[in-house]
Amino acid sequence: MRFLRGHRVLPVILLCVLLLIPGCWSGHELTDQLIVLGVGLDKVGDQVRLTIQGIRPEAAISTASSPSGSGGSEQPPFSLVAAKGDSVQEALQKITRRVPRFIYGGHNQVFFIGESLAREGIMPYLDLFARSQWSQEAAWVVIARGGTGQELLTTTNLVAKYPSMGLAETVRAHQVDIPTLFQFLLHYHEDSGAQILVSAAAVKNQTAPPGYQMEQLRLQPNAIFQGDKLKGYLDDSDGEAYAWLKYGFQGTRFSFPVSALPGAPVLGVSLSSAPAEFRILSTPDLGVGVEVNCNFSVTEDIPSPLNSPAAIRALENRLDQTLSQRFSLLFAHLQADQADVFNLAEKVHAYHLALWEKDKGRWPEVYAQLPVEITVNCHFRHSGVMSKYPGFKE
Amino acid sequence: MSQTAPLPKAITPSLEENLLYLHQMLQGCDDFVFRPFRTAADIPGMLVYSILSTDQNFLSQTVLPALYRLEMRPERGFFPEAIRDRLPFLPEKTFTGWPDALVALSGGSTLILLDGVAETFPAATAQVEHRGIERSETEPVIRGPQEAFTEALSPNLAIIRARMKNPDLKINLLKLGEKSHTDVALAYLEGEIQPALLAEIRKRLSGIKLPSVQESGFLTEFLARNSYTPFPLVQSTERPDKVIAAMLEGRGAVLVEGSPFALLLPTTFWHFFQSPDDYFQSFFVGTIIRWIRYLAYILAAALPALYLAFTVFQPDMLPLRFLFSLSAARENVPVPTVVEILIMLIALDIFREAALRLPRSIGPAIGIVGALVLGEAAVSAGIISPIMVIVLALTAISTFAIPTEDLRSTVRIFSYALVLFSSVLGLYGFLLGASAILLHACSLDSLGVPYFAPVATLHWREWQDVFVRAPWPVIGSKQQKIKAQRRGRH
Repeated sequence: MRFLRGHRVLPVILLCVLLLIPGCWSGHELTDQLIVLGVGLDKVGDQVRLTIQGIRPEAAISTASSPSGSGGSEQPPFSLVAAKGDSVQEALQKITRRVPRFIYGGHNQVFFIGESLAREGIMPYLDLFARSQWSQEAAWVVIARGGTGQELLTTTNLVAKYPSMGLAETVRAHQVDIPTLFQFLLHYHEDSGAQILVSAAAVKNQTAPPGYQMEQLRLQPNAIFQGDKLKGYLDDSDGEAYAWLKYGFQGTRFSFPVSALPGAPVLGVSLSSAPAEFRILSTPDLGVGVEVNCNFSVTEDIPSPLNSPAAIRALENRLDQTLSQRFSLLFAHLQADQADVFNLAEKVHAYHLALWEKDKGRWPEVYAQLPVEITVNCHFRHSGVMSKYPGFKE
Repeated sequence: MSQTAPLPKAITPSLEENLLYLHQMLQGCDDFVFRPFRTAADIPGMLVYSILSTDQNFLSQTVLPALYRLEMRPERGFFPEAIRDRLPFLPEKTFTGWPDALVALSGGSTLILLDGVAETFPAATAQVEHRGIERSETEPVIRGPQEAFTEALSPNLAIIRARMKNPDLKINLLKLGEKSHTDVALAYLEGEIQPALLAEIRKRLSGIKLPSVQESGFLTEFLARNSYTPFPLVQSTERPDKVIAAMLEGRGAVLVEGSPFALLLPTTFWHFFQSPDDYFQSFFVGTIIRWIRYLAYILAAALPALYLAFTVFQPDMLPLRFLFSLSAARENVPVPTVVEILIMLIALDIFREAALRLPRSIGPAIGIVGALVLGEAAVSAGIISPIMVIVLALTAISTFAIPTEDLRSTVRIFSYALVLFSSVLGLYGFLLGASAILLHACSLDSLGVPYFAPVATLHWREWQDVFVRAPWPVIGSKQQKIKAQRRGRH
C-alpha cells in the first residue's frame, strides 16, 4: 500500500472531509417532485389559503405524444392543490401530506396575492418563500385586483397551457415589468417603503366576437403599496405614466393629437428612452426635478409633412407638453396618496443628510408638499418608412 | 529443454560433444533440424536450424554451397576469422557460449558448427511471415499518410528511416524479456532529445525485468513508473508520421518486435488530442477540430454525471421548459436516475466490447442492434427515459471523437466515478470529483515532464500547439521542445 503512504493519504482524507461538509444529501428524483409553477395566497376568514399550481407530467406526455391537443384528456395539464392554515407553513405542510410528492418551488413563476390579503399586509405570508429555496429572483409578485389568487391560477390563456406560464408569455409580449419577490423585498426595506406592484385581473375580451372572448390576465402596474400593505390603485393613465418613468419608454407606442385644437388629427409615435432621472433640488427649498429624455419615431401616417425644422420642433414641443401633463397628473395623485414610489426619500437621505435627519420622521407629509419640476425632452428621430408623403410636392 | 543435461556454458572444439549437448537441449523441439555436411577440406560440420523460422532457400542456395567449398583446415590457424571472410553472409559476431547461441537459434538463425572449432557461426537466415503494411485501423485520418506499423520490427524501423533521412536519427536495439528475448528499438533524434531524458529512458528500459515482452503495452508501466493512475502516461501510436513528429519534438520512440504500436515518451495530456489531421489541414480547421475534441472528452467524461446532478439535485438550474420535457419523459421510469445511468453506461460498455470482439463483418451490426433496437425497446417498455438514451448516445459518440484509444479507454473510468460523485452530492459532488481528477492529473509526470504541461506549468508560448494549432510558419520555425516543459520539474 505504498500509495497510501505520506502525503498521498492527505488528499484522500481531505476529499472525505469535503464530502461530509455540505450536509445536504438532498437529491430528489424528478418523478418524486411536484414542480410548482404558481402560488396563490388568499385570506379566507382568519386563515390563509395556499393554492399551488403544479404540472402534471402525464398530461404533458399525452400532449407531447399527440400534437392534436390535449391527447383525449379533458383535464387541464396542471393540478391545483389548496390548503388552509393559520400560517403559510401550516398550509404547505397540509399540502405536502396530501400530495405524495416533494413540493419543488425552485421554478415557481409567480405569487398571486389575493386583494384582501394584500390590504392586510403580505410580508408575513411571503416570508417563508423568501427564506427557503423558492425562487426569489425570478418569481413575480402579482396582486389579484378585486379577486383571489386562486382565481388567477385557473385563468386559461391563449398562448400557454399553464396559466402561470401564460403570464410569462404575456409579460414577454407586452414588455411589462413585474417586480419579483426579490425586488419587492429590496423596495420594502428602502427609506420610502412605498412601491408599485403589478396587479392582474382576469378579464374577458369583450370586443372580440362571441365565442372568442377568452378570459385573459390583464396586467397593470398600479397597486400602490405602503410597506407591505396595499393602499389603492392608480388609474390606467397613471399606471402607464408610472411605468414610463420607472422603466423608460421601451419602444412604447403612443398616440397624441398634433395640436390642442379640438378635432386635431392624432399621430402615432414610437418612443424609447432610459428611465427618468430624478434630482433632488434644495435651493432654496426641497424640491424634485424629473428629467425625461426620449427619442421618438413616427409610426402612423403623418397628417402634415414634416418637411421643415420648425414643423419638427413644433411636433416635439407638442409631445413634450402632452407627456409633461401626464407625469404631472401622476405626481399629483402619488403625492395625494403620500406614496413615494420612486424612493425619493433615499435620494434625500443620500445627498441632503441634514435635511433628511430633520424631516425623516414626517417624510410622507414632506413628500406630499414637494414641488415637482418635470422636464421632458423629446427628440424626433425618424419619420417612418415612407420616403415621400402623399400630396407633398418636391 | 531438458533441465537434467549438463550445462556447459562454452562451446567446445569437439563437434560430437557440442551435438550431444544440443540434442539434449533441443529435446522435444521437433522443429529443429540437424543437417550434417563436410567442407572441401573434409572437416565434418553440422547446420542446426528451425524449419519454421528459417529461409531454407537461402540456406540451400547460399550457405551450404559456400560451406562445401570451404577449404581451410584448423591446423593452419586464424580459423574462425578466415572462415568469416569466406562466408560473407555471416554476421560479425560469433558465439563462444551456448546461451547466446541458443537465443539466436530460437530467433531463426542457423548455427554452423565445425569440428575442431570452439565457436559457432550464426547465419542470419531468419524468416518469419508477417502481414504487410496496411491502413491504420485505430488512428485513421482523412487526409495524410494512411500506412501503419506492422508487427515486424525491421520494416517499422525502415519506414521511420525512410521518412527521416538524417544520420541524427539514432536507433538503439536491445533485447527485453528474460525468456522471450524480444527485440526492442529505441529511436530518437540526436540534437533534439535532451541527453538527460535519453539517459532516463535507457535506464528505465534496461531496468525492465519481465519474462516476456509480447506487446509494447507491457513496457508502459515500467516507463511511466506509475501504475496507480487511470491517465495514460505513455502515448502509443501505430502511425509512423506521429513517431517522426514526436522525435522532432525531442521525444523518444520505443518500438517492440511483435507490436504494431510504438511508444512515445515523455507524454503530456495534450498529446492525446493531437491528430495528424490537424497538421494537414488549415490552421482554422485544425484549431476548431481540436476544440471539438476537448469538448468531446469533457462530454464523454461528464455528461451522464451532469445530467444526474442537474435533474436530481439542481433542477433549479435547468430552463423550465426543459424541465417539463425531462419530467414528462421520466414519469414512468421505475428506477432512480442513478440506476438508470449505471445500467445504460454498463450496457454501453458491453456493446462496445462486444462489437470489438466480433468479426468485422457483424461488429457494426451488433452496434446498431444494441443502440437502436435495444434502446428503442427499453424506452417503449418504460425502463429508461428517452432523454437518457440521448444523453448516453451523446456520451458514446463523444467518446469516439477522442482521437487516441489510450484516452478513449480511460475516459469511461472518469465517467463512472463522476456519476457516483454526482449521485451523492449533486453538482457539488461533481465539481469535487472533477477537481480531484484535475488535481490528480496535474500531479502526474511522464519521465519528469509535468503531465499537464504546458498549460498547468504556464509556459504560454507553447500553448500554440494546445489551444490552437498554430499556422505552420509559426510552428515550423521552432518545434516545441520538451526542454522548456522540463523546467517545471527539474
